Parts: sequence; C-alpha cells; structure tokens
Amino acid sequence: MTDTTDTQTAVPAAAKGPKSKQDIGIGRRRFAEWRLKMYGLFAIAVAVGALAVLLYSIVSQGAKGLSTIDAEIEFVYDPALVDREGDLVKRFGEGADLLASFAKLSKEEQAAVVDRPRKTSYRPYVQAAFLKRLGIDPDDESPENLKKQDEALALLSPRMDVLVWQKIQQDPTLFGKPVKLQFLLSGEVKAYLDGIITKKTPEARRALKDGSLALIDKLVADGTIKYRVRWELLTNKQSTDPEDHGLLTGLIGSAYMMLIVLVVAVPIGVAASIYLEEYAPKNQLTDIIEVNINNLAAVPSIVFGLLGLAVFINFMELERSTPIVGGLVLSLMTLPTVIIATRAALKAVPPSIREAALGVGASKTQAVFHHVLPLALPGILTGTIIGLAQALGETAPLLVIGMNAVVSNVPTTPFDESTSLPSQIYEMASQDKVALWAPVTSASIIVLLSFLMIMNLTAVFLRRRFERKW
Amino acid sequence: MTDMTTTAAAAAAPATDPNAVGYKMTARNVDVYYGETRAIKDVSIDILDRTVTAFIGPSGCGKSTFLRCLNRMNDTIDICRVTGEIKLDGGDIYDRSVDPVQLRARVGMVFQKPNPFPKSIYDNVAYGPRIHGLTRNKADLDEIIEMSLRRAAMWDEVKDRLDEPGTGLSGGQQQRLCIARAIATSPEVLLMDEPASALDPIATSKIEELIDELRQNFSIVIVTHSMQQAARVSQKTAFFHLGNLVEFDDTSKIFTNPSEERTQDYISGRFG
Ligand SMILES: Nc1ncnc2c1ncn2[C@@H]1O[C@H](COP(=O)(O)OP(=O)(O)OP(=O)(O)O)[C@@H](O)[C@H]1O
Ligand SMILES: [Mg+2]
Repeated sequence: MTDTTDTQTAVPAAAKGPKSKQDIGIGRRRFAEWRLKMYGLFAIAVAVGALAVLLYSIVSQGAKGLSTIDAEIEFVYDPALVDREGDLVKRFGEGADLLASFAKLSKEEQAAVVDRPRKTSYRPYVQAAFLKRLGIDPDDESPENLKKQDEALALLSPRMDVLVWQKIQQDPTLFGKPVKLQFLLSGEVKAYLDGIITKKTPEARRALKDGSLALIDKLVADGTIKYRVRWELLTNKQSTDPEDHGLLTGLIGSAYMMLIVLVVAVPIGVAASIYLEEYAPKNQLTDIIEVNINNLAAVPSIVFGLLGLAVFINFMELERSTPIVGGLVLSLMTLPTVIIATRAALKAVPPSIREAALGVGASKTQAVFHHVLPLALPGILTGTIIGLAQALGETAPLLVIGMNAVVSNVPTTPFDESTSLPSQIYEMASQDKVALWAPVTSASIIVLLSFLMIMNLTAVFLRRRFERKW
Repeated sequence: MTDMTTTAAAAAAPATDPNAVGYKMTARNVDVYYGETRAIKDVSIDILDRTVTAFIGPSGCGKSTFLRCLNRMNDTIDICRVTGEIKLDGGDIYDRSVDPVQLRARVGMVFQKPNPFPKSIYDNVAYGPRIHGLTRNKADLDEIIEMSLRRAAMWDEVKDRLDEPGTGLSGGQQQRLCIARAIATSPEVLLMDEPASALDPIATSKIEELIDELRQNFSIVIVTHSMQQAARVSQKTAFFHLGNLVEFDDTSKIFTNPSEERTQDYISGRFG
C-alpha cells in the first residue's frame, strides 16, 4: 500500500517520570514483556498440540477406513436361480440351448428374465460360491462341516447378495455365465484385521468366533484376502453396513449446494458490498445495515436452518431434504461472510486509485469496475472461497431441513432428495456399532477435510498469485 | 454584487501576460463546508488562460479544498458542500446540466502523491482517451500516448518499456506519468496539488520545466508549499489563510511588495 504511515515508536514512559525511577521501570517492563511472550508461546503450544491430537486420531482411524479388503471369487449366474418354476427350460430348452436362446432375446426381455428372483434368492448361491472358493463343501451336512460352513459364512458381508443381484440387473448378458467378482467381506473381518477386534476380546462379545478368526489369518496368509484402496467410499451410495457405505450421495448433494451458494450468495454479496462501500451515503440507515450484516455473521447456524425450514419448506413449499433448500440456507449463511470479505477487499484499495480514475474523468461506475474491483478481486475470491468452505462443513442447519436422511437414489438435480457430506458424517458417527463404523467415519472426515484444505489452499494461492503492490 | 466583484477583480489583476487571452475560470463568493466547518470563506478569484497560478498558504488553509472545487472533485466527499459560483469559459460548472465526469475531462488533475494505476505505462496514459472515446484506432491512440509522454518529458525514458507496470517507476517518473495521463485527455485547465512534494530536487526541476512547457497550451493551477517554486513557475500567486483568500496578484508583486501584512509575514517565514 502507498500509505506508509510511520508507526512512531511510543515515547518511553520512563522518560516522562523523574530520573531516579527509570531503572525500576525498565526492569519491570522487560519482565512484563517476557511474561507476555511466554503466555503467547504457551497458547500456541496448546493450540498446535490440540490440532496434532485431533489430526492424529482422525488420520490413524481414517487410514483404516481408506483401505478395504476383498476376495476374488468366481460366481456363476446359474439359470436355475432365475428359473424357479422351470418355465424357462420348457420354453428354451436346457443348458447351451437355453443360453443361446437367451442371447437372442431383446434387451427388455433379458432384463425381464433376470429381474425375476428377489435379491434374497441369491443368498444360497453366493454362499455356495464363497464356500467353494474356500474349499468347503457347501452340500456336506455333517456337523463338522456345518461348523466349518458357519465359521466361513460369518466372514461374508450380508450385502453381497444385493451386490450380486445389482450386477446382473445392470448387465443381463451375464446370465448363465461365470463372472469373477470381488466378494465383500463383513465389517467385522476388516475390524479384526485393523486390530479393533482381537482374539483377546471375549468370544461372546464378538460376532466372529475363534474359528472364523483363524480362518481369516489363513486367508490373509495365502493371499485370498487382499487389501486395496477403498474407492467405493467415493463411488458408493449410503448403506446400512459399514463395509460398502459410500459418500456419493453426500458428495453430489454438497456439490449442488456449493453451486447454489456460488450462484446465489456470491453475486448478491458482491453487489451489496459494492453498493455499501462505493455508492451508499454514510447515514444512520447504512450504519444500521452495516451493524446488522456484521451481527448476521455471528448468528448460530441452526437459526438459519430453522429460518430455511420456515421460509423455504413451509412457506415456499420446496421439497424437504433437497439441495436447493440446503443451498439457499447455506447461501443465507454465507452472505455475511462474502459481504464482509468483499467490503474489506474494496476498502483495501487505496483511495488514491479512485481519485486517479475520477481525476481523468472516469465516472464512478467506471472507476469502480475498471480499477477498484479488479484490484479487490483476489480479496473477494479469497473471502468467497473461505465462505464456501465454511458452508461445505456446515451441518446443523442441514439436519434441521432433513438432509441427513438415507437416500436410495443418487440425486440428479438439486430438486431431488439428497444428503450432504457433513450430515452423512454425522449420521455415521451416530450409528450403533461404533467400533465398526469408526474407521469409515474417520475416512469420510478425511475426505471432507481434504476438500476444505483444497479450497483453503486455492484461496491462499489466489491471494499470492494476484497480490499486487501499488 | 457579483458584477461588482468581477470588475473589482479584473481591475485588481490586469492581464499583464501577453499570452493571456482572458479568463479561463472565474470563482465568485465560493464557500466550502465540511459538515458544519467552513473550510473556504467567500473566495473570488480569476484563473487566466495560458498562465500558471500558484496557491500558497499555511497547511490546512484550504488550498487543496479550493483546488478540488475547480473540477468538482469535492463531489466525491459526502460531507462536502460548495456554494457560490465557479465558471469555466463562462459556463457554471456547478450547474445541474453539467456532468462532473465531462468537466473533469476538461479540467484535469494531478495529485500530491503519484497515483499511477497498477497497469502498464501505456494503459495508464491510454485510460483517459479510451473512456472519453477520443481516438478511433490504435494508431491515433499511440500518437496521443507518445505526445503526452513527450510533453511530460519522459518519452525517451520509457518508450522501450511501455508495457511495464507504471507502479514500477521511480517516484518522480510516476508523477510525470500522472501528468502525462492528465494531459492525454487534452484538458483546458490542469490542476496540480503539490505535484513535487514527494520528489527530489532534480525531479522537481524537471516538473517545473514541464509546467513552464505546458503553460503554452493549458491554464495551470498549482498548489505549493515552496515559495521558491511558486516564484519560479507562476505568473499569478494567490495567498490563502484560514480559508480566506488574503491576496491575489502577479507573482512578482506578491513576493516583492505584497499589500497585505499577513502575506508579508508568510513569505518571509514568520508563520505557517
Ligand atoms: N475530507 C475532509 N473532511 C473534513 N474536513 C476536511 C476534509 N478535507 C479537508 N478538511 C478540512 O478543511 C481544511 C482545509 O483543508 P485542505 O486540505 O484544503 O488544506 P490545505 O491548504 O490543502 O493544507 P495542506 O497544505 O496541508 O495540504 C482543513 O481544516 C481540513 O481539516
Ligand atoms: Mg493540501
């Protein structure tokens, strides 16, 4: 800035007093200064320490949630699975004939055929395939083998039959064919491998008995169970079980809401700031407006949620749990932040620039749009991004408008039911089986924090990149 | 009343300069208020064409305030109110029909502190002509820019780096760039508020030469705290004190034989 205000060092107080007192004053002052410095250092140490503990606990838990295990198993989409009544065999013949005839059917007919059995009908087939892979005879009903079967099946995720069913719904041509599938193992298996459940945990208090644990050890040792990155965290929808829970719905919901905030809060906020800063007369009314905007920034976010409930849902009759409502609520919340940041950025542009523009005959609007606004832009962008980041992490108002529901369909428009990233995390954190959900919850927090970090770094980058000296 | 002062002022300040073709600006009974405070008290003055008029006076006496009335820069200050009459070529500049934006294209201003835009040297000078639509093509614009920079005595220094930022120049160069920017719109009157206050003696003398040079085409009003500078560059000098115009006369008369005691005290350094 041009305003090089000389910060005049204060005249030492001692200089004013009588000479004899000077020495005492200096010693005391030095001690006071040292003490203040120590307070500061202590405060910083506490803050950094707390942050370190927080990050450590999240990352150590989250690292477990970011990996997953699975076992590759061959599964045959057996025609018998579909053909309970035997009518398909009657129609098309058996074996190769049946498959050849099926291949000739139209897409719709194929879909109709594979749609016939219910999801749960897949369970015995899935279990049989799993047992076969582990070298256990699925048909031997001797007590010894039955025990083995039970121990093995405890490892399998209950979600697997649904996944197998979904797979063939998506691609009916798999009918009758052997497919290599990544079998999902139950959350307990991962918990055991992560050390959350150990053999020392009393057997009665865990779902996996000693036999199952021994089997896991064996499967890991022989490479049947493999670790990999858990991309499903980003690509899966919500689930009732931690092993295939994903954030897709929340990611899309949050993305829509950010978009709405960007489209609603930023233009309104910037326009309001330009008016208040550059055009508005200084009078009582603008003073009141100013005070209110600053106060608005301090209003608890849940109040905005209640406001949204009253205005957008009850009065405007928008659908509950939709990103449009969430986005509007977050826009209201972000508005003061954007306004305050933008006004600060406009204020930081030296008045001499405005005078220069006016002096050569620019109109006020030209001065603002040609000179002031471009200079304030990095500050405005920074403020906007920080406002967006705040909005992204906001949970309370979204709970009020019901964005924590379990949504079965991935939202395609902002008017569809959805959830948000932070409210999903809130839901995960309040699940019953805390130990099983903790890793995936922490992993989700890592995802959220990563987004926030990216946004904040962008803000820092923009500030550095466009910072101008004048 | 107005007529009387006009004749009185005309009689008091006969056009001695052979180049002077008459009054460019006339101010009558101008009062300026900042809120309740009266910063300028009943000032009447004539600014001659193709003449350098210097405003001198102790700090806070209202020189800048009055100067800013001449191109209505005071309009930008909320609490500032101007009464009285200021005419440019016979037309009242505070008339409702006058657009201050157009006025400022005719009455240019150079500020105390160099304030180039954080843009290239070229764009700094080009800004005025561009917003006023003075040129039809790039060649015309280039010509105006070269001419303005030449007149501001800095063309040779910057002709090879026109696309470098204006803020990267030295203080003196920046001030000359601001002068070039101000004259690029070919104003008829150029107001300069202590243009050399931040400059070293060499840059100052360059600016003084420049002012003398510009006098051929413009009417110039300069505020200065330097008696020597006022004596060197101006033909007319106005002495302000506490918002009053104490004395306004030929520079030579003010500095050798002022009629007011307060003027005498000020130029001999007894106060201010
Ligand atoms: N924006 C303003 N708001 C309120 N009062 C102002 C403002 N600008 C100037 N004044 C007052 O008007 C009076 C004249 O100020 P002005 O800036 O014209 O003095 P000046 O003669 O230019 O002084 P200097 O030589 O120090 O520049 C001063 O008393 C000052 O306090
Ligand atoms: Mg001044």
